[in-house]
This record gives sequence, structure tokens and C-alpha cells, in this order.
Amino acid sequence: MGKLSILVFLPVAAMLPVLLVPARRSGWLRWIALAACLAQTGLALSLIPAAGSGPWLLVEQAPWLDLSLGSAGSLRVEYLLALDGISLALVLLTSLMMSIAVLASWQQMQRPKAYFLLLLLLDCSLVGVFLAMDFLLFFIFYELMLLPMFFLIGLWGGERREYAAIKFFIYTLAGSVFMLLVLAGVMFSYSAGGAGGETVYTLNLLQITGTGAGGQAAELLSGSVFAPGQTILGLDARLLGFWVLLIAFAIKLPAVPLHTWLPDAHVEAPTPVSVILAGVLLKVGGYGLIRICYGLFPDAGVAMSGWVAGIGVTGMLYGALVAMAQTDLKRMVAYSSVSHMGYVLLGLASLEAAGVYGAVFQLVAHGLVSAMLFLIAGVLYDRVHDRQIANFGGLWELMPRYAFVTLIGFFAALGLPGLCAFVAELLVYLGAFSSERIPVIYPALGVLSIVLGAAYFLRAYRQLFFGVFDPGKTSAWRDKLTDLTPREYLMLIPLALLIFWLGIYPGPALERLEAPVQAWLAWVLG
Amino acid sequence: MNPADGLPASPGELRIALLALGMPLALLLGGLLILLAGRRLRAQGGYLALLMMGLAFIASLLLLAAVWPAGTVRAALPWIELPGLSIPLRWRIDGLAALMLALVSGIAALVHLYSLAYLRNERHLSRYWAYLALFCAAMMGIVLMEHLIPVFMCWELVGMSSYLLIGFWTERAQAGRAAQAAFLVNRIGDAGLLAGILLLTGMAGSGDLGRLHGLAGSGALGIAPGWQTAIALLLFLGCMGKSAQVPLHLWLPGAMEGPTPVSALIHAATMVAAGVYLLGRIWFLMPPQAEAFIAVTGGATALLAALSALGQWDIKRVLAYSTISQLGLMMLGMGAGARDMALLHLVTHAFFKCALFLAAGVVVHAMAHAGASDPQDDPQDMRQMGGLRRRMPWTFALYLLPMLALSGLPLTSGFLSKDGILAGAWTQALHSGGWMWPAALAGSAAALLTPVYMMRQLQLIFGGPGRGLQVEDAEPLMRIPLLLLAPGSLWLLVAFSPFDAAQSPLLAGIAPAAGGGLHAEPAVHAWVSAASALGVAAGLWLGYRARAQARSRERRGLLQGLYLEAAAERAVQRPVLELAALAARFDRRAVDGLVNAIGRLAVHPRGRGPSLAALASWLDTRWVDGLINGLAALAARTGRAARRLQGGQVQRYLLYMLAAVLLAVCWLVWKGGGI
Amino acid sequence: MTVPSLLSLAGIGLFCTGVYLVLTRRNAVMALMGIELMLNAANLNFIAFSRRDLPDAEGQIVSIFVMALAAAETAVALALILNLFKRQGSAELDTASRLRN
Repeated sequence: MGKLSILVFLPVAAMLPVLLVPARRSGWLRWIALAACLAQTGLALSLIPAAGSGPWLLVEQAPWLDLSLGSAGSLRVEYLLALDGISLALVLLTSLMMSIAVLASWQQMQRPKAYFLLLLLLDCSLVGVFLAMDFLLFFIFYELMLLPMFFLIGLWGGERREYAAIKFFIYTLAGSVFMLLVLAGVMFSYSAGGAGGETVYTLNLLQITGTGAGGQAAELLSGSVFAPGQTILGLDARLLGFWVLLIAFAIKLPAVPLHTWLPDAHVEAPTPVSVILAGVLLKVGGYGLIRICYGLFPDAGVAMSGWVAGIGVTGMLYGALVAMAQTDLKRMVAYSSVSHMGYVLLGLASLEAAGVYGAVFQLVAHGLVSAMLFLIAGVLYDRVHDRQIANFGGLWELMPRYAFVTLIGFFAALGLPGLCAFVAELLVYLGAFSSERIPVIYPALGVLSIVLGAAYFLRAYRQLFFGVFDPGKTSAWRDKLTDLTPREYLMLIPLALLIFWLGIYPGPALERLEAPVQAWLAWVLG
Repeated sequence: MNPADGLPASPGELRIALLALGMPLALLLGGLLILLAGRRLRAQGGYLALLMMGLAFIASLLLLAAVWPAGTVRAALPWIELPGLSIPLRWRIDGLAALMLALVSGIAALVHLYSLAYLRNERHLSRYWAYLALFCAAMMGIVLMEHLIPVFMCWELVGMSSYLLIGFWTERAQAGRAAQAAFLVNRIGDAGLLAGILLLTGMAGSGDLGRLHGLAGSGALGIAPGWQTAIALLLFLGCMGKSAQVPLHLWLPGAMEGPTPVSALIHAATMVAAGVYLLGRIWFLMPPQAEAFIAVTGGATALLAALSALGQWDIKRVLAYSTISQLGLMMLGMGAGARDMALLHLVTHAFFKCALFLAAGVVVHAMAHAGASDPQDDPQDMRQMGGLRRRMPWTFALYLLPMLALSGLPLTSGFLSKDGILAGAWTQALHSGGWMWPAALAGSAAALLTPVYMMRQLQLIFGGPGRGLQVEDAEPLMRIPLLLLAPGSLWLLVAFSPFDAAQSPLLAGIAPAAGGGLHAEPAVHAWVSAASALGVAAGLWLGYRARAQARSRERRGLLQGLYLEAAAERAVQRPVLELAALAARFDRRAVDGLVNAIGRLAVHPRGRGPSLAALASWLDTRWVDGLINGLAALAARTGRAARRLQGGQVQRYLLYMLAAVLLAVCWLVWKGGGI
Repeated sequence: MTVPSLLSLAGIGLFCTGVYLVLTRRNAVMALMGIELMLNAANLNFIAFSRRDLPDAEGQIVSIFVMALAAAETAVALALILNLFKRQGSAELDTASRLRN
């Protein structure tokens, strides 16, 4: 069993001891889960210096299904895990977020066993998504993700948890259905060329996207569904395929106007689930766009740059505007996610090195920052079960350390230089302004979002922390609003340090992305 | 990054480069140390901060000595280094940069010294020192950095630390509001600056000022003229935000909510100076149209702010508007091409404005202590003051001198630099005409208004009969910075000749960086000097004469800053918030509403009403299920019929068997013709 | 008419009698007697046809087997009928419709 498989199935292995823990020892559960996540993080960290020629650091391949289709050839589905700089970054992010989520669930007393089991299952599916390079395997992990998430929101959520969970589930499932359509088409489009000239249909993305690793490049069969020039219902098949996949991943990202599941899911989800949702789950959308959407239909992606950038910029501005009007802290942060994930689309659409670096960097940066923001919102909610910004005020007096940490989080989110989100935004804008594929008006409008972003974060900060704490309205709160606990520090400080590190010295991190991004650009533009 | 880039090879230059970069880094580290060890350090934190800043000042003097007047040392370290994407941290020390560094660190050191006394009784002082360190380090970064992207990063950090400093008194809701306004207005400028920088980087292929200067010099910038103007205006938008030009000046009066030493620092050498300084660095990117725009903006700012200053009652707000007015003059100089004079004014202004603020701080401090019994009194309201001349002679003297310099009386530094700007503006107006005329006119009018409002302020604070206020004069720790700064108001700071700034030795370092300057025609210069000397004297006299009405007359329009704030609120803030509310409603009603409508169309939440699910359910029960049920019923009926055959009677079964055998036999016989 | 054909005819008559008995008698003993008649009718036929296929004696051997089987069968059947009678007080076939209890 290779390292990648261990990475994926370590959480599943940890489910067994979790199952065996007797009910009266439920305190052990969190330690087991934490140990599993930390071990996963350690393993992922150990992969950083992994050597390899070309962009792919590690590849694990095993035959899985080989269906003979008689005279039509055979269909080959592989168990294929592959790791490059992009997936390594996201796997690291996932395992880190999982560890933090377990820490944030330390006080989880309701049905803890089921809770931690689902969390571990989610971990497995997320890492699997980021490593699977066979389309069917990817799809299976992608679907597997839904199940634990649905229950985590639906069982441990807030007042409207059922509505939120079902909305999340149906939205995402709709996206999966779209993806399944394309999957069915792709299944009979590429041939890996078996022995004796027979057709071996393959879903191996390494071969399909011509990156050289994992066998020779697969050949797009003429006359197949997605061959150039084919039409479906009078529409160009490749364009249609691109759009269908774009919609599938735009739901996950989320891009306007397919974003409305996000605020509800975030508001209803418990803090650790929000952390995973914002920190990792949204990144699956961006990752899918990079790997699957552009990977399968690079020509259509190039042709549709303007549209993709337009959707991105719309999301940036619209998300920021809507966030400005929110009164609920978590909702505001959720909409800020919509705004920030627009950068990913803009950066990818630029098809410039800087923009793509920026998009990938934004995936990680936003993961760190938004996780921090949801933890921050969770701190207040844990204490007084209220998230209405206007109900607070003067918290600097009561919780100075919390105020300071929030300052870091909010300024990171509004893109202050020296903190990681700025690097991502800078690179995205750099790519977008110098790209000839998108009109200059898009990034120029997009720049407005840095003003809007500052406006809503600072307004919330002022309302929460400045002024004098009003004891009349909320006298019972004064005793509850205590400063950060050591456990909360343990969650927030690593995030803050990472945010600083990636913001001040992003060079080493970006260098790890160099080979995969260049290979990706070469494939898409080639 | 070029292979030639990197740290300089010669040890002398290397020492200079590392010293320059080490200054802000050491400040940051010191600030972090004070912040983390705040509890344990207590008062020592302040001394540590002062020590750091003093060392920085000494270091910058060393730098100044090393490069003055025309030396340049460049160095670079990689920050982002990827194929096709290179953003180096390149810094450069030349005369202008070293002068600015000395100015920033020197004034900051004095402000530190002053703060030790002024904020002695504050809590959370470790935070204060840390914010100051960040602020000064970021400002030094702006001064040092040569690549525009690192400049932008420091630029934003200055904005962020000003947010922290203005909002230092977190228990004041008003401070929070002012801090937020400061950051947001700056962010508007920053957005423009970022767009400009990135457009420039995209089109010219580099954001490095040194390289861009070379390209522009050889005419190889490769940017269409229209785009060049657009880029220039976007870059200027950033300068407008930081240097408080109309209409982005609104944050500056509000920034008075911060502690007074912070105001002194922001207004003197840092932050507001950043815009002018940056313009002095990127002047070669400014086409004539953009320069005209800059000049007009500067002139308008100078005049509007001077008018607003006339109506203020708050001691610090008068100074704030005077700062805006002076910044307008600097911008006018920049636009007119008298860049060296504008930067010179930046230097002289730093001295007397800092002195004025610190002296005003002494007054406010004293008033706050005198009025401690009545917390309702605003210690900054000049109507509460008067006759302080006798009780605070030191402060009076140390206020008078910089005030005269600000007014521009001959024999002061302000006279020299301001006249340089005005002479340049009029020369340019005579040469190119057009929009330069109103700009020069507005600038001159502002210069004539300055003595009027400054004299009015002096009268309100120190003049008139004493009002029995039990105020104390400045304590020594607060007096030392004033004593050090006030002499800077004299002409000797600039040049030996009290009438011609062009002889100033300071220009030797400033001019090369700012690309030389406009040589004002001697005749114009003479006229401007004479007129301004007369005008200032007349203005001072006018302000003195009006002392009787000064106390009583309320000029609402001027007090409200010509209603510009209200206008901005109505024209920008409210529409944006309304748009946000509209977007949120749209999101809830339309986007989410559509989703929910689709959901409702699919499944009615409580299982009532028409929906696809109901239709499907009907189809299912009536037709799909009906078919199945029909089949089942058929089977049941068949079964019932068949049950009759199975009576449980063996003999009947045997009879069936017999019949079957007979039938089989018959069939075999008929088919095969025999058994 | 030869002896074998006479024997066959007699067998047929005997068989029909047996069938009639099995189908019509309600008493289990009588039905058993019908079955015995049918078995012996078959025996008659075996013997008659073995006479024709001389010198083979297979028919006669089989008829001996059948007689042995019939004896065993009668013993089992009578035991069953006896039990039936014990349980329900009669040997009526129609009433023995319940296998449980």
C-alpha cells in the first residue's frame, strides 16, 4: 500500500477504534480522531520533499475494473491516485483543517461516536477527491463527500438544519448529476490503445490530459461524443461539456447565482463543520475546475475565458455587496466566501501564469482565512449563542485577545499585504490585467471589491469591538464573554501563523506549484 | 530578476543597503517584542520604542551622509520568483529617500518622546508602541522600495496601522468610526493605485521604477497615450487618498480622534506625505493632461480646505484642514512641474506642522486636566480657551513660531518653500495656460487665507483676557520635542538666503530624484514673493483684527467643511449601502427565491398544494400503482379460482390425475398413431 | 384367445375396479383395497407379458418384487390408517385435510 493510499484510508482505519470505544469512554473518541488527523497531516508534510520527474510527485496505480465490451473493445477503470503540487497543497489544507475541526469539536457531547465517524469518513472522501486521477474514482469520492456532510449539518446543526442540509444535498447532487452526464460521455471517448490494436476505453485523467505520467497519452477517438466538431442538440459538444462541468463545479465553488446553499449551510452548520465546509469543501469546486473541467475541455476553456471571468467578477462584487447588508456574522462571512471564490474563476480565466498561481493560492489562502473567520464567529456563538453583529459592542474591553485575533482574521480577509489572501489577490489581478483573453474592464471592476470587502469587514469590526459594552441590554452576557481559552488559541494561532507566513514569504510555496501550473498551462493552451 | 540584481557587491554599498533595510525590520521586530512582552515591560516598553526610533534616526543620518547628495545604492532580494512572474523586493537609497528616512525617523523619535509624557496614564500602551513601530516601518518601506508592488504593500500597511492608531481608544465609538472612515477612504485610493500599478505592469512589462524610468527616458514604454493618461490618473488616485486631496480628504479631519501625538505623526512626515512622495517618484509617468489634473486637484484642495479651516472650533481640526490645504499646495507644485519645491515644502511643513500639533497637544492636555471636574467640556474646543498666553508662555512661544512659518511669513522656512511652489505654478500658467490658471489662482488664494485662519486660532487659544483656567504649562518631557522642532520653522532650515529657495542645499539631494524642477522665471518669482509677503502680513493683520468676532461668529458651512462630508455620505455611502441592501434582498427573494420556488414546485414543504411531487404521486397511485394493483388483483382472483381445484381431497386429485393420464394417452394415440 | 391376452383383459378389469374403488370409497381401508387391486392388476399384466417373452423371466421377477412391496406398503398404510382413526375417530379420507396438530 503506497503512501497516497495510506493518506486516503488512514481516517477509515481510524474509524474502527472509534467504533470499538465503549460508550462510557466517549472522551477517547476525540483523541483518536485527532491522532488520525495529525498523523495524516504529518504524512502529508513528509511528502513535501517527495522527488519525482515532471509535475507528478507520486503516482499509485492498480487495475480495478476491466469490462470487456466484446467486439467494441474494453472499458478500463483504474484505481489511480496521483499527487502533484496542487493536490499536495490541498491535501495539506484538508488534513490541517480536519485537525482543527476535531479540536473545535472537543466539547461535542451529542452522539459523539457517530459525529466523529462521519468526520473521519468526510476526511477520507476529501483527500480521495484531491488525489483521485481516474474520473470514475474521482466521482465516487466526490459523491461520498455528500453523505457525511449531509448528516453533519442535518443532525448537529442549528434551528433550520434540516432545510439547510437538504438544500445543500440537493444542490450538490444536482451538480453531480451534471458531472455524471459528462462522465458517461467521456467514458467512451478516449482510448488508451491496448495490445493488438483493440480499443481500450479509459477514464485515466493522467492519460487523457496528456501529462505524460501513468502510461502513454490517451487518444480522443474520432466520432466519439466529445470529438471535435461533434454536436449535441445542435450545440458544440465540447463547449456543452465544458459548460455542464462548469455548472457542476460552480455549484461547489460556489459561483453566483448558484451560491445560495452556502449561507444557509454555513449558518446552520456547527462551527467545526463550517470550518471544513469553507476551508476545504469549497476548494473541491476550484480543484475540479482545474483538473476536470479545463483538463477535459481545454479548447472550450480557452474560448470561454471571457464568460468565466465575467462570472468570477460578478461573484466578487455581488458577494461583497450582499455581505455588506448582512446582520448575522456567520452569514456575512459566508457571503464573503462567495466574493473571495470569485477570484479563483477570474484567475483561471486569465490563463496567465500569474493568474493561475493566484487561483490555486487563493484556494489555500481562502481556506485558511475563512476557517479562521468561522472559528472567530464560533467563539462568540459558543459563549452567548448569538450571532447578530448589532447585539455586541465594546468587546475590546472584555476580550482584548479575541479582539486582536479577530483583527488579524478580518484584515487577512480584506486582503491586507503581509497576509496570505493579499498574495492570492495580487497574483489574480496581475494575471487578469495582463491577460489578453479577458476585457480589462473585468479586473478593473473587480478591484472595487477590495473597497467593498474592507467596508463590510471593518463595519462589523467596529460594531463588535469599538465603543463601550452596553451592560443594560445584555447584562447576563458580561460574565459569559470571557477571553479566549487555551484550546481556542490552539486552533487559531496555527492558522494565524500560516496566514502570516504565506503572506510574508510566499516564494517557497509558490515554487512547489510551479511545475504543475506550467504543465497545466501547457496542456490548456497547447 | 536580472542576474545583475541582488545585493550589491561592494562592501560599502552592501553596508548601506543592509542598514536601510534593517531599519524597518528592526522596528517591526521591536514592535512585536513590545506587543508580546507588553505586560512585563510596562513603562519600559516606551523607552525601548524610543530607543529603537532614536537608533533608526541615527542610522538614517548615516545613510544620508553616505549617499548625499547624488549617490544611489540599489539592492534587491527575491520575493516571488517564478518563470514569467518576478516580483523582487528592490530597494534604493538616494538623496531623497535618505532625507525622507531621516525626516520620518527623526519626527517619529520626537513623537515617541512626547508620547511618553502625553500618554503616561494610558492603559494598553504596549499596543500603542507596537502600532507606531508598524506605522513607521511601513512608511520607511514606501520610501525605500523601488518596485511598485512592494510600495503598494507598504502603502496599505500604512493605512492599516493608521486605522489602528486612530482607533486606539477603542472605548470611543467615534474613534472606531473615524478609523474605519480613514481606512475606507484610503482603500478607495488604494484600489485605484493597485489597478494603475497592475495595468502598468501588464503593459510596460515591469513594475520597477528604475526600469520604468529608463524605458520612459528612451521613449520605449510602449503604452498608448490614452492608457498612459488612464494609468497616471489611477496612480494619482492612490496619492489623493493618502495625501487627502479633495474629495478623498474626508478622513483626515476625523483622524483627529486618535491620540494627539499620532495626529502629529500622521500629519507631519508620514502617511499624508506618502502621496506627495510617491508622485515625486513616478513623475515621469505623468503625461501633461494628468499633470494639469493634479494641479487643479491640488489647487482646489488647498482652497477648499483653507476655507473650511476658517470656521472650525476644534483646535486640532483647524490644523487638520491646514494640513489638507498645504498638501493641496504640494500637489499643485507637483502638477505644475515644480516638484523639487513641492518636496521641499513637504520637508519644511513636516517640521512646523509637527510642532504645531505637539503644542496643540500640550494645550489639550492642560485643558483636559483643568476641566477634569466637568467631563462635559470638550478640551479641544477653542471657545473654552483664551488668554492662555500668560499661563503657558513656553507653549505660546513654541506655537507662535511654527504658526508664522505655516502662514508663510518671510524669514521662515514655509515662506521659502511655499513661494517656490507658487512661483512655479504661475510660471507654468504663463507658459502653458489652460487649466493652470485657475489652479495657480486657487493655490495663491489658499496661501493668502492661511495667515487668516492661523491668526484666528492663535487669538482664540492664547489671545484675549484670561478666563481663570487653572492650566499648567508643558512639562519638560513634552517641551523638549517642541524646542527641537520649532527652530526648524526658520529659514535656515532651508537655505542661507531667506528669499530664494532655489539656493537651498536640500535641493541638491531632492532634485535628482524628482527629475529636476521647473525653473521659475526670476520676474515671476520676485512678484510672487513680494505679493505673498504683503499678503501674509495683511492676512495676519486681518486675522488679528477679527479677534472680536472670532469667538462668536459661527460659520456653519465652513464648520461642516463646506458640507462635503454630508455630500459624500449622500452621494456615495448611502447609495452603496442601499445597493447592498437591494442586492441582499435580490439574493433572498430572487436567487434564493427561485431555488426555493423550484423546490416548492418539486415538493411542497408540508405535502399540500400542487407540486411535481403531488403530480407524480397522483400518477403513481392512480396509474403506476394502479397497474400493479390491477395485476395483483388479477392474480388473486386467479388464485381464488384455482383454490377450488385444491380441495384437500386425495381422491379428487387422483381423478384429475386419471383424467390427465387419459388425455395424455389420447393425445399420444392421436399424434403417434399408437402407443 | 390366448392365455396371455385373457390374462391381460382380466388385469384391465381388475385395474378399473381398483380405480373405481380408490375414487369412490370414502373409507381409507376401502381405498387401500382399491390400490391393492390396481397393483395386482399390474402384476397380472407382467405375468401375462412375461409368458409371451419366453424364455426371459423378468416379468415374473418384477411381479414378485411388486408383491413384496405391496405387502410392505399395506403394513405402512394400515398403520397410518390406524393412527388416523385414533386421532379423529374415523377412517374417512375427506376429513383428513389438516396436516397440522
